Parts: sequence; C-alpha cells; structure tokens
Amino acid sequence: MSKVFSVLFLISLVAYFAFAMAEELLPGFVSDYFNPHLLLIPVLIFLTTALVYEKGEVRMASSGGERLTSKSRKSQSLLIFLAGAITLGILWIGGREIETAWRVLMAVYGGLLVVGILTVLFKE
Amino acid sequence: MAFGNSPRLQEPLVIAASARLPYILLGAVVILYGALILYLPFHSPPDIYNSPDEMANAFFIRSVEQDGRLIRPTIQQNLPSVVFPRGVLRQDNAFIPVGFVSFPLLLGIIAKLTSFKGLFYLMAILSALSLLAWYGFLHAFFGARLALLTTFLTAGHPLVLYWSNRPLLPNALFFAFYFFAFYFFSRTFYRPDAGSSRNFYSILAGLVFGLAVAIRPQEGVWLAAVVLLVAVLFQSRSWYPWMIFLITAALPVGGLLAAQKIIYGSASRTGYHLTPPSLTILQTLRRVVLPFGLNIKAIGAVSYSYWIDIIWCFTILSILGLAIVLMYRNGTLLRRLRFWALVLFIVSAWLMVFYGSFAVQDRFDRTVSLGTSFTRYFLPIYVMALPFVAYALFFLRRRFGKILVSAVVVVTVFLSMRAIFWGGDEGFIRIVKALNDNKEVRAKALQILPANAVILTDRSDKIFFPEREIVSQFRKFHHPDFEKLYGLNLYYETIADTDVVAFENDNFWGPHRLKAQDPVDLGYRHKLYKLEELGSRK
Repeated sequence: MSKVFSVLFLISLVAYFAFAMAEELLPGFVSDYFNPHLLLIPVLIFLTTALVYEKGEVRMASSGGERLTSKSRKSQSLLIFLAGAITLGILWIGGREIETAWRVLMAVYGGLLVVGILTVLFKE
Repeated sequence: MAFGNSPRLQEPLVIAASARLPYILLGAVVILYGALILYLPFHSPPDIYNSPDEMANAFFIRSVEQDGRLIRPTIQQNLPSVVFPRGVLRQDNAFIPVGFVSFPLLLGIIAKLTSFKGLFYLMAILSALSLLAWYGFLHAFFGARLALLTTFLTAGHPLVLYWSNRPLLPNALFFAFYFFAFYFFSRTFYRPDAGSSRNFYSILAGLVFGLAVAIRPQEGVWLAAVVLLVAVLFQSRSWYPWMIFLITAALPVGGLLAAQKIIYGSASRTGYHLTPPSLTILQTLRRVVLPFGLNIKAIGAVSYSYWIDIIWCFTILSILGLAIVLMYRNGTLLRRLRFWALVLFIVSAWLMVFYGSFAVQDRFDRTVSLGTSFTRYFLPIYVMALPFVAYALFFLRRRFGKILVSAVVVVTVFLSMRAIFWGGDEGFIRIVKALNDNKEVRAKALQILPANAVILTDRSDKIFFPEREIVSQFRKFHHPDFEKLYGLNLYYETIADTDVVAFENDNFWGPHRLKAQDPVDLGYRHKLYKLEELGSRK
C-alpha cells in the first residue's frame, strides 16, 4: 500500500507544481476554476499515508510479522514531521516577499529536504 | 554510545530493501529542485542580465540560434578596437567571445532546437537529473545511505542551488556533465558483471567528461586527476574501456580546438589571449598552472572568506566529518572516505592556488557575497566536501541524539534557503528587483541616446549592450586609447554622486581632453552625462 500512496504523492506533487506554474505563467488560467494551492492538501495527505504504511511494512518485515509499537519509533516519526513542519513554517514566513506559488514551492522544498535528511539519518 | 563502537557507519551502508521512503522523498526533492532552479530565469526581465558574462553568453547564444554564426557584426562599423563591453571583444567589425567558445556554441545549437527560452527548461531538467547521477556515483563509492544523505545535502546546498539558477553561466552545465561523467564512470569501472554494457557506459562517460572539459577547460587538470584517482580506487585493470573513454572524451575537446582555430586563427588561442603567444615551455606551463600568479596572502584571504565566512554551517560540519574520518581507522567506508579526503585535498589545493591569486572585482564594495565569482570557482570543493558533512551528521545523530541533529538540519536548510532567496543583496529577490530597475534605466536611457552613441561605463554594460556600443575598460586606458575615441558621440554613465564626477572631470577626464556634463537622471542612482571633447589639452 505504501507504494500506491507514494505514487499518488508524486502524482499530486507534480500536478500541484504544473498547475501552480501554469498559474504563474498565465495568471487566471487555473485560478479561474480553482485555487491551485489546494492541491497541497492531497500532497500532504498522500505523503503522510505513504509514511504510515511504510512504517507498518518495515515493522512487519523486520519482526517477521510481530507487531512493534515502540515508543521511540513513534517519537522519531513525530520529530521528523515536526522538523519538516517547522522548516516549512519558517520558510513560509521568511519568504513573504515572494509570490505565493514560489513561496509554497520553496517552503515545501525546504520541508522535504529536512524530512528527507532526517529520514535517512534516523533509519535504524 | 562511543562512536568507535558504531559498526553501522563503518561498513558500506545499505538500507533495507523495504525502505522506499527516502527514495520517494529524493524523487520529490529532485522534481522540486528542477522547478526551483527556474525561479531566476522566469522572474528576470528578458534581455537584462545580472553579470557581463551572462550578457555576453546570451548575446552569442542568440547569434548562433538566429543566424547560425557565433561571430556577430558590430552595432556600428569602423569604431576603434577599444570599444567593447566586458565578456566581448571587437575584431574587424565583428564581436567575438572573450570566454571559451564551446559554451555559447553548444547552447546556441541546442537553442536552435528548443528556442532560447526552452534552454532554461532543458537546463533545469538536466540539472535535476544530474542529482540522480551524483547519487548513482556516490552509491557505488560509499553505499546507499551516505549517498542518499549527500544527495539531499547537495540539493540543499545554497551555492549549488544559486548557480544552477543562472544557466547562462557555464557552471550549471559543467556540474551537470561532471555528475553524469562520474556516474557513467562508476558504471564503467565499478561493475564487475557489467559485460558489454561497460563499453556503452565508457562511451557515455568519455563524451560527458569531454563536454565538461570543453565547457570549462581550466577545470580539466583537476578533473583528470580526480578521474585517475577514482580509477585507482576502483582498481581497474582493463585497458579497453580506458581507450574508449579517452577517444570519446577527445571528441568534444577536439571540437573546441577546431572552433578556436576557426574563430581565433589558432587552436591554442582563446578570447582571453588574442595576441599570438610565443612562449617557452616553462612560460606555457606557468600560464596553465598559475595564470593569475601566486599571491599567498591573497590565497589565504580568499580561502577564509569563501570557506569559513560564507557557508560556515557546511564548513564546520565538513571539518567535523573530516576529523572523524581521519581519527577512526576501521572499516571499508572509512577507508573510502579517507581516500575521498585525499581527492578533496588535491582538488582544493589546486583550485585555491589557481583562483586564489585572481584579483577579480565582481563587486565595487569588494565584500564577500553569494554571487561572487569565487563561489562558482570553488563549487567543486563545496560539493566534494558534502560526504563529510553527511558523515558528521551521522556522528551527531549517534553521539548527541535526534533532537540536536534535527535542530542542526533545520537551521542548515533554513540558512541555505534564506541565503538564496532573501539574504543579502545577491539573493534572488534582490536580483530580480535590480534587474527590473535596470530595465527601467535602459528604457529611459534609450529614449535619450542616439543610435550612434558610445557609452563609457564601469559596470552598466550589462544594461545597455547590445542596444548601444560600450567602452568598459576605459579606467585602464592610456592617453592614446582616449585619442582613438575623439570624434565619437560619447556618453558617460555612472552611479557616482555629482561631486565625484566633478572630481573626475578635474583629475580623470580633464587630462584626456574630455568633460562630463549635462547629467540626466535615469533613476535608481544611474546618471547619464554627455562627454564633450575639450578644445585643448589641460
């Protein structure tokens, strides 16, 4: 399942980017119909779901089917998301001189970098 | 936990097969990286550039795109040879490039297929894919885990992102080829089971390596040294792939030499050195190794400014990583990292000595900033040091726990993004504003300036060229050079205050029988003066 949600995450991310850039190049092209930044909601939902399923599959694989609900794993995931969210928030506020589409892009990029780096670092 | 007891870091690092998430995140980061490096090209007004090099490259790329010719006729005919902006030379009523011709030639040919604007998309895609190639090379060298972390760090490095956003300078393309060359190189020499595909990868490695050298020949020496050292590490015993590699690498380099022969009259001549060289072997060697001389004090100052001062976050972490790697002696990974430290040391020493004595003045206030040429000259050092940054982060994670390393990562990423976008006066937001200001300045100036105007300006050639003829080197002129300009419709553009110009009239223009007068305000501190010829020598 994590693979399915990973693919959905990537598709929604690319779709978000395509619509946001289209709006940037041709103002009103997308926003006449819907706010392209709303696509960030499925992006975040799919990413979170993929992560949750991924964790479950790792647990199953590493324990031969035995359930592992260690406190450290939960706190680890929480810390990764928190760090990503903090970065996203700081960059969003800091980048207020930039137009919205690029501000979102920069903040999401920074957030993803932090989440990516911490995910590799915290992998046991 | 003592670091010396952490075996996970000392083996080639492998992530469990089920751990797809980091790869998904890497994919997302690569896509967004490609998107983000379109920020500056998308926001800049057309035909206004941030540096004379970009201006000159755009000029010659468009020339190849539109006319299929690199050499372009001058705006006015029969002007003296001292009339040219930075990055361009004037020869026989034609403009020719100062830099190596391979970059504008290659991009011009591509632009014929993609259009000039399409180049930016292509470069963004290439740069994004080159990150994956970099990962591929690092994976073969250091294992998956360190490779992943280093690739994330590369994508977040402020100077990598910064220079990738300026595709009209050769550095972004050079780095893309550099990453691809090492990836194909590792596929050629590191896969014992590669079979016939080894030759295919050898061809690709040679081609992109040759292209990287052709675009920036001044980097060829250290690039070749790194290839040789990595080949030693991979313990290649077969000569056949090497032969293929060398032959295919020679093709783009041969193309550059042929282009130089056609344009400058000799394969060894470039726009930098138009006078036919009649040098001894020792002098030639000195010009290759130390083209800017050897100034130890300047090298020290430049090393401090562009290693410690400007990207201190990454530098501290890379020094920490390097120290740990040198202190602990067990395991394959540490042995490879020590080897990489040797490669880094050789490249750093070469680049520091080569460029450290270069008295480049990109900024009139001479402060250290993100957009100074030194940061792009030293980009290979910054990137090659990143595996040590990654190792230091692993160390911090194991030694001090998750909270501390999370804070370090958040701060580092935040500082990177801040530096690129809204930090200092060379962040993208300021650059875009400055370019839009310059667009207004140009529009106002062109309303005033007649078509036969010749503008003397220190730094605004990037605003007015190619609409008007420019003289940019007049501060270095001797009196006979000024005499060549007499009789032309001269203007002087400056951002200096009026009292400074009054001082210049007495001490600079006056002795050359010229006087700056009738200032017109072009906005944003820019003023345009008419340069009148005085009747007699002062």
